[in-house]
Parts: sequence; structure tokens; C-alpha cells
Amino acid sequence: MSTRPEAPSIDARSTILGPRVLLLAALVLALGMVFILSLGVGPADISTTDALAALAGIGSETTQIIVLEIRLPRVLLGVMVGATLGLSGAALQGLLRNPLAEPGLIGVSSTAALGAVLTLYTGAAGAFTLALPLGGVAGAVIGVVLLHILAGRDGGNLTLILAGIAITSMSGALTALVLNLAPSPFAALEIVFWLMGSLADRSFAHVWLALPFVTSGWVLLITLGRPLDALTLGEDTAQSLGFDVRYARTRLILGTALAVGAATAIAGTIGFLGLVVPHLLRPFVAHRPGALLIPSALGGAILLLLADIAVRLPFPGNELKLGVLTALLGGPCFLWLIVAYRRRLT
Amino acid sequence: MRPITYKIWDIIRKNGAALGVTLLTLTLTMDPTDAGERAKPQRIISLNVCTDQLLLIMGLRQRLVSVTFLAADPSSSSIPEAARGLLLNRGRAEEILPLRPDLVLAGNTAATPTVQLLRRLGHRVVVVPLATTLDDIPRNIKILARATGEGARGRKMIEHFKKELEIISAEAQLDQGSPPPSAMIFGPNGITSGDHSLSEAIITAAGFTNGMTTHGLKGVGRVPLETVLAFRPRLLILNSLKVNNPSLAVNLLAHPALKHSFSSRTTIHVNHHVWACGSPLVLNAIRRLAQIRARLVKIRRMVRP
Repeated sequence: MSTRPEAPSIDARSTILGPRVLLLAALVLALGMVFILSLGVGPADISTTDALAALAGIGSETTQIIVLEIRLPRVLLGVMVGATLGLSGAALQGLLRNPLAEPGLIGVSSTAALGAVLTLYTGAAGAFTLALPLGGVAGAVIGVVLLHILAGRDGGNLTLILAGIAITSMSGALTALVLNLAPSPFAALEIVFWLMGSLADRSFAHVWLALPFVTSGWVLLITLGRPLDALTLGEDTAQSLGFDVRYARTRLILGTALAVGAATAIAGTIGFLGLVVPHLLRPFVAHRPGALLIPSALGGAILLLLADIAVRLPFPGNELKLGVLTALLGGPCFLWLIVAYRRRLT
Repeated sequence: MRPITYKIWDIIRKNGAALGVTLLTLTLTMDPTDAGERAKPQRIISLNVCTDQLLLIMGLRQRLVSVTFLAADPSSSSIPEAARGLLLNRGRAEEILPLRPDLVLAGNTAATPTVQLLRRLGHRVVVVPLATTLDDIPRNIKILARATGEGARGRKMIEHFKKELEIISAEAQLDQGSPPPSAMIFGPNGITSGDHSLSEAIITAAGFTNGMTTHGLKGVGRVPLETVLAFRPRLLILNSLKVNNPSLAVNLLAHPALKHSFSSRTTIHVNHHVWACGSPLVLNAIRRLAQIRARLVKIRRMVRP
């Protein structure tokens, strides 16, 4: 259209924008498909078409209750938790400029789980409904701040991973301790849920409980795009470009804590997802951390819904925990990262 | 016979293992359980919450030295007050040996290493199997009565139990015109009971069919929430605990989908301890369920005459 000298730069932008829009469209489409697919999976014999009909208010009362009260909140929570993990993984990797940063690996999910466990089993969550997500968020804040102190601005990969291992094992042990001391005879058995995560038998009460925290966390993280891009040029350059790096960091801590804290309080610790998703999508966004945020959120939601379908298929009625599946997916990815890292060194 | 066992235990304690082993073989060859007509045991220890309750119901409190800690726990025992004041054990051999029991009663699910150890040290241990049918209840009473030397008292209890059960089933026979309504048990974590379980026997005696049996479940197992909703039994029996300490397992019973599928008329809460053990106390559970069944059948007749 334009014949002005800026034309080439506009062209360059549109070629980047083109594939980006394409990627987002593909991800949204895939998410929609997995969403519908997931509604048709469960121990009760309700197919995808029956489930869709029930959503529209057609079908028996029983079918409608099962779809609307059990399967729909489960899928919505899957989207919320998956998007949270993908998004916070991408944001953490961008800001710390570290390919290993991920809420599960660096201990934020574990401290969030500890916070949630403390509020749930002491009865605080029964007395005051918001105590559960607040406990998760408080735990996550402690986790991120601790990590920041231990492996903050100059920390390399090694420091980050060591600090993450220390925080994860400490909070895991404390979670086990709290559950063993809890008065309920079932508490000690529920450690698997908190360490491995699950979306089984959740309800809309959980969706509403987590939603405000998760969405406000998302807003804080998604708006980090431009500072993250600037940070690829180094902290000083970003500062000179007019980005307040400390403010960006505070927003990252708060956003991660809000979203991951609330998601973990509802679904337990789900590892590796935040690590895998940004790595899978990075080549599609020309390695720009800012452009990676929204695709990672969508990709995280897709991958979590797929994992949640997979846990229900092998043993209907006695499903696997989500963390089992995500670790099976994430473990090899983590190993591949190590191999790639070593190859770069030699 | 018993004083010898005590003496041996003292010697083992004082003189160490080597001497202990030789004396042990001696006691084993003497076999204290084959001593024919013995005096009634006066220092009874129970290692199982079901034998705890049966012994207390039989009125043998005076001769009980110790029962399990569960016997005094209102979420596990139907008669926690009866155990008050008794020494409570956690089924460990080290707690039991110093109490010098002359009869130890254990369940067949209890820690078998403990039972084996106690037997090896010459103690008389009677294992009472878990009751999974209503017929197992008189059988267990008989085992306990024989072990404690209370044959007459046991016979009386069995007679009473059978008579009461007959009265209830006779009442259930009266309105057999309609097919029995279905019931399903749903407990913490989705734990339910199918075929070959005492809970199933209780439900059937009250005139219900167990929905889980038609699903092919044997014994105790888990049922997904979706399956319960899809089957929609006439009566949902929520197997809850008396003490509701928070846990994810118990929170499941408050899932909104259950509340929207079952009304207060088609839901009852039964405390787990009511049917955890086979004792004459299960009659209360059967009576209550039979009343509910009669009411449900009446409602159905009114709807579809």
C-alpha cells in the first residue's frame, strides 16, 4: 500500500505477524477440539455428542447433571491450570533468562501446595472459603521470593536448579508432615494428590474459588511481553530503553504467585508442564519471549487437557494422577535440554 | 499352665535371648492351648475393634485388661463410652506382653506378625474372622463365647439376635408385592461395598438391592461419582464419619452434583462404625433402613398406583 521508505519494515512486521496469527488461530482451534473431546470422557457412558447436547440443555436430567456439574468444571479447571502453568513457565524463563525456570521445577508449586495443605487440613478452609486459594497464593509468594533471594539476578542455571531442589524437597517434606499430623484418617493418603495433582471430582465451587486469582495473575503476566523482549538485550539495555526491570520483576512474582498459587490449591502440584510448553512453541515465535506468552498459555491448556484425558482412559473409575502423565512427558524433554546444553558447551 | 508362661517371660526378659529360645521350645511342646477344660480367662486383651465391641456387649468388661484405641474412638466404635477407663492398645506386641494376658483376641486382618510373635511366646491367641454376612455374626459370638468360657451367655445372645432378625425380615416380607428398591453406598473417596460384604448383607436384609452388586463389584471398592449419578439408586447411603475432620476424601461427599441428584428423602447418612463390625448392633442399622424402604415404597405407590 505504502510507497514510503518505511515500507520494508512494515513488510517485515507483517511477515512476523502472519505466522503469529496463524499460530494463535491453530492453538485456539486445537484447544476447542480438545475441550469438546474431554467432555466426552468419563466412567459414565456419555459420548461427546451427548455431552454437547447436554450443554445446550438437551438430554436427560442425569446426563445434564454429570456433564454440567462434573465434566464441565473439570475441563474449565484443566484450561485454567494448564494455561497458568504454560504462561508462568514462559514468563519465568523469559525474565530469569533461564531455560529451566518453571513453577514445578523451581519449587513454587510445592510451596503453594504446602500453603493450601496448611489451610485445608487445619480446618481454616472450612471456616472461611477463600482461605484455600489464599493459602496457596501465600505459599507461592514465599516460594518465589525465596527463590529470588537464593538464585536471583546473577544466578546461573546451577544455582537456580539447586535452590529449586532445596525448596521443593523442603516443602514436600513439610507437606507430608502436616498431612501425617492431620486429624483426619484420610489425610496421610492424600499426599499423592498434593504431590502429583489431579482434576478428579472437582466442582464449579472450585472454579469460582480459583478464577479471580488465576485471571488477575494472567493479566499481570501477559502484560509483561514488552519488558521481556527488551530484557533479551540485557538488563542495562532494557533499563535504558525505559523499562523498569525491578517493577517487571515484582509483577512477575505477584502474577506467578496469584495464578500458580490458586491453581495448585485446587489441583495439586503438576510438574514439567511449564517447562515443556514454552520450549515446544519457542521456534514458532522467532524466540521472542514476549510473543511466547499467549501461545504458551494456550499450549499449556491443550497439553493439560490431553494429559487429563489420558489419565482417565487406562483405568476408568480409578484414574492416574496428572503429575504422572506430565512427568512422563516432561522428563524426556528435560533430558533433551541437558543434552542440547552440553552440546553447546563442547 | 499360665503362671509358667509368665515365669518364662520373666526369665526371657532377665536372661536374654539364648536362654529364652530354649525355654520357648519347651513351652511350645507343652502347648498351653490343649489343656482341656480351663478356668475362665481373667486377663483378656483384644487387638481388634470388632472383638473389642463384641466382648463389651457380652458384658465381659471386668475381665478385659486392654482394648484397641479405636474402641474409645466415636468414629470407629458404636459404643465408645463402654471402653472408657480401659487401657487402650495399638496392637503392638511390646504393649501387650507386659500386661500378661491369658487370652488375646485378634481379627484376621490384624497384624499377623504380632499374632505369630505372641503365639511363639506361648500366649493363647484366638483369631476371630471378619464378618462379611449376617450368619457370620452368630458364628463370631460362638467363637468368642467358647474362648472366654461363656458358652451359655453366647447361646442366649445368638438366640436373641436370630429372633430379632426374623421379626425384621418377616415385616419386610409383608410388602413384597413391589420389587425391592435399589440402594448404593458412597463413602469418603468414593468407597462403596458390593457382593460379599457385611454392608451389602445389611442393605439386603432391610429389603433393598445393592446397586453396586449389579455393577459386579465384589467386596469393598471405589466407585466414580459419575457412575453413582448415572445409576441413580432410589436411596443414596452416604457413609460418613462421626468426626468430620477436613480431607479431600470427605469433601467428596459434599459435591454439588450429589445434592442436585438426591434429595433429603433419598439420601441418608450412616456413620461408618454402624456397619463396620459384625455385632448384634447391626440390627439397629437394618431396622432404620427397613423403615426408610417402607417409606420409599409407599411414595412410589402413590406416584404410580
